[in-house]
This record gives sequence, C-alpha cells and structure tokens, in this order.
Amino acid sequence: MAFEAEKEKYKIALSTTRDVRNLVDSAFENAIKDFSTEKTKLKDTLVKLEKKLSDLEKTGNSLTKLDNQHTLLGKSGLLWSDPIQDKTPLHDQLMQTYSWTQKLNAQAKIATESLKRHHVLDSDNVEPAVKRPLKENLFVPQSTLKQIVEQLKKTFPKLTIRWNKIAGVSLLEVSVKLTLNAIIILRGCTIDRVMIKAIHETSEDKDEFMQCSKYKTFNKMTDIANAAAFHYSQCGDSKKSLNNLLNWLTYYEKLFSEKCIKCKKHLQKDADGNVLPPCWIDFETLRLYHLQCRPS
Amino acid sequence: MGVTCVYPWPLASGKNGQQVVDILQKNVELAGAHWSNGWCVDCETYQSVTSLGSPPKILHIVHNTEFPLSTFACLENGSCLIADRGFDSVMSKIKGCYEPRKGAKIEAKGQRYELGDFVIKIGQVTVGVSFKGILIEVEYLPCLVASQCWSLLQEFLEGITGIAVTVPSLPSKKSDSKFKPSDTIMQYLEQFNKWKKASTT
Repeated sequence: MAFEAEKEKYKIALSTTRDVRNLVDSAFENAIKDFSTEKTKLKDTLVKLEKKLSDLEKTGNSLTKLDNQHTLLGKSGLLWSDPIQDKTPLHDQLMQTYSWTQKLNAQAKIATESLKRHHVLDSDNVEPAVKRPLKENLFVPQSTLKQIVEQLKKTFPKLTIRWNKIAGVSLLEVSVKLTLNAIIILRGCTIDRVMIKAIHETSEDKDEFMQCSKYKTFNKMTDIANAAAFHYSQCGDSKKSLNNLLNWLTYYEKLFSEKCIKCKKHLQKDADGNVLPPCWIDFETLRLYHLQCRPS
Repeated sequence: MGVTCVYPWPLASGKNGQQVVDILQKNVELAGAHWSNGWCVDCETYQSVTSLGSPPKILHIVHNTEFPLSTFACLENGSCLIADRGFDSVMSKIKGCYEPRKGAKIEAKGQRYELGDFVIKIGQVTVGVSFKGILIEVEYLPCLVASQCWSLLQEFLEGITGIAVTVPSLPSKKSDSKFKPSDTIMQYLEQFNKWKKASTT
C-alpha cells in the first residue's frame, strides 16, 4: 500500500514537471508575441508557472528514495513512472516474469540437491569414463527386442504385455489387471516415455493412442511413471531398468482398493484441487502413498 | 463409464426434501465440484396380463439421462435387457400381454456435478407429485471394477457430505467383473422398490 502511495506521488511530480515545461514554453511564446503594453498574458503565465513550481517543490520534498525491492530490474524498474499509460503495465509484467524465473531457479536448485542426494550425478563422478553406454542400446535388432519381451512376459505373469510398432516407434503396452494400461515408448531398449491410461482407454487408432488420458488420476500417474522410469534408468542397464519399471507397475494392482500407508485414507486433494487415490508407489519400498504423503 | 454407487440419503427431521437437497448441493459445491447438467432416472412398471392361477410377471422399464438412447427392461429375477429407445414403442404394441401399472411411475430427478474424476448426482424421488426421498449417485470414472473402489466411493461420499455413511452392498456378485450400466440401473430399481413397498404397507 505504501508503495502504491509513493507511486502516486511520483506520478503527480512527473505531471507537474510536464506542466512546468509547458508553461515555460508558453511564457517564452507570450514574451515574443504579446505586444500589449500591460503584457497580461505573460503575467498570467508567470503567475501560473510560479504556482506550479512551488507545487513541484512541495511534492519533490515529500518524495522518498525508491525502495530497492521495486527497482530490482535496474532502470527498467522506472517504467511504471512513465506518463504514457500504455507502458505502465509493462513493469508489472516484467516483475512477474522476473519473480517467476527467480522461483524457477530456486526450484531447480532444490531439484539438483535432491538428485545429488539420491544419485551421484555424472558431473560429480571422479572418473568421467564411467558413462552409460547409451549408443549401444539405441539400435537393437527386432529379434532381440522380441526376446526381451518374451522374457518380461515370463517374469511378470500378472501383467499383460504386448509389443507394438506404430509409425516406426516401438511400444510396450502393459496392462495391470483391471486397473490401468501403461504405454512404454522405447528407443531401442531404453525407456523413452511412459503414458498411463485407464484400462478402457486403449484404442488401435494411432492418433488416439498417443493422446494422454482423460482422467486426472492417470495423468498424474503418467508424471510419476516418467519419474520412476528416470529413477530406474540411473543404473545404466536398460534391461534391468525395464524390469524394475514393470515390477514397480505391478504394485498398482491395488491402486483403488488400498489406502495410503501414511494417512490411512483412500483419497486426498492434491495441490491442483483434484481428489486422487494414493498414486505414488515408493521406488524403493514399493508401498502406496498419496503424493503429499510420500516420504521425503 | 466407471463404477457407480446409488445411496438413499436419510431425511433429517424437521427439514423437507428440497431443504436437504439444497444443503447437499451446497456441500458438494463447497468441496469444489462444478455443476454440469440436470439428470433424471424414471421407471415405469408393467405387469403381465394374468391367465388363470399364475401370478403376474413384473417388468420395469427404466430410462437414464446418462444413456439417452437406451431403454433398460428389467425383470424381477435381476436380468436386464438393454435396448434402443425404440423399445418403448414395442411395449405399447404388446399391451395385450403387458399393461402398465397405474400410479407406478417413479422418478428420480436433480442436478449433476463433476469433481475431477468423480460425478455426483443429487436428486429427489417422486411418484407422481408425492415426494418419496432423496438419492445420491456417485460415479468414479477411472475404475471399472466395483469391488476395487467400493470403499473409496464410501470415503468420497463421507467426505462430501460430512457424515459417516454405510453404502449398500456390492451390486455385482463376481468380485472382479467389470461394472456395467445395468448394474447402476439395478441399484436404482432396488431403491425404487424399497420406496414402493414402504408406500404400499
């Protein structure tokens, strides 16, 4: 509120300055053009000028130095005092963008810290030579893929696994019994992306196939599944990470029937206001939690 | 469609049907649900024209605005035929065999709300102009098996109404069978029959 009042004062001061400049202009014009003996026009203008000047002095004395908080963006922080009205909102937008990037920066720092805690990032490795052999896994012959799928089918009899190729992209369609469908998009053997859909949302149509679920629960789970895929791929072995991901998916069998380990409830409202079941399965303990209940 | 649970809401003493419905609707809106439409489930009962000695057979014809193109024809033994809306005209053609019971048309009507993956319907049940009770229908769309999410639905109902509720028993006998539209209709019929019996006794 105090800042708003200050802003108003600055606006008044600026408009008074503009008036003073205009009056000085007209005073000079009158001095040249007013040929009457009494010079009434000039007198009037000078009286007005004097009044405006004293106003400006008064306003100027009452002004305080601008708070740093509002001039974070350097000189562009003075944009709000621009008398041209079209430019005034620009400052607020700039401030919003600035605070948004600041927040993003802070969140990114937290994310990096968290990742460092759980996995040693590549940059932290003492020996840079232990990089993941990504290239090898990107080009896998179809026969090898078939073998892997057959192996997965044997390892996870509870899951229905289908291997598909749509528009040159290898897909694994994994159905968790009467609960959900997971579409795992592969690049060679490596997990590229995971999509979670309802059991009744599968379609042969390839355009619909790639669309996300129309249910909030499964859209949230898509994010979680991608996080899980990322987590399990840290080991560097793509077959092992695929195995781990499928093992993790099997625990979703009890998504709707089991309560959250922490709050002992089925439903919780998430940050977006959606009422969701416990859709976070801990990557290590494989127990069900709500997103906000998950162990840190 | 997901799994649906139809729950008869008990009338609090000193309040009429409309007042209770208003309170429920307010609670649902406060929970963050948004109004999406009106809804109606109506049921007309037919009985077979009796031949000597044998008791008349009962046939319920049910319509649900959630399935606007279908007619549900249900027998007392629990079997349910789902047909096109044109089935209604078939009934008028066989009025020599089945005739409508007089004053037996019962109807549940009210407002429909959506809250994330849930659909909530609150309505008043009437026979003609006389008020019979209040029904709440809760549907959870992502799930297909009633046994999986029945207690989740109970918790949701308790959450939006603010009081402990005891939901009816599972509609389907098989634990892992998929939930069908006819299961919803059978739940409505069960509640309608209770009210009909209560009014005849």
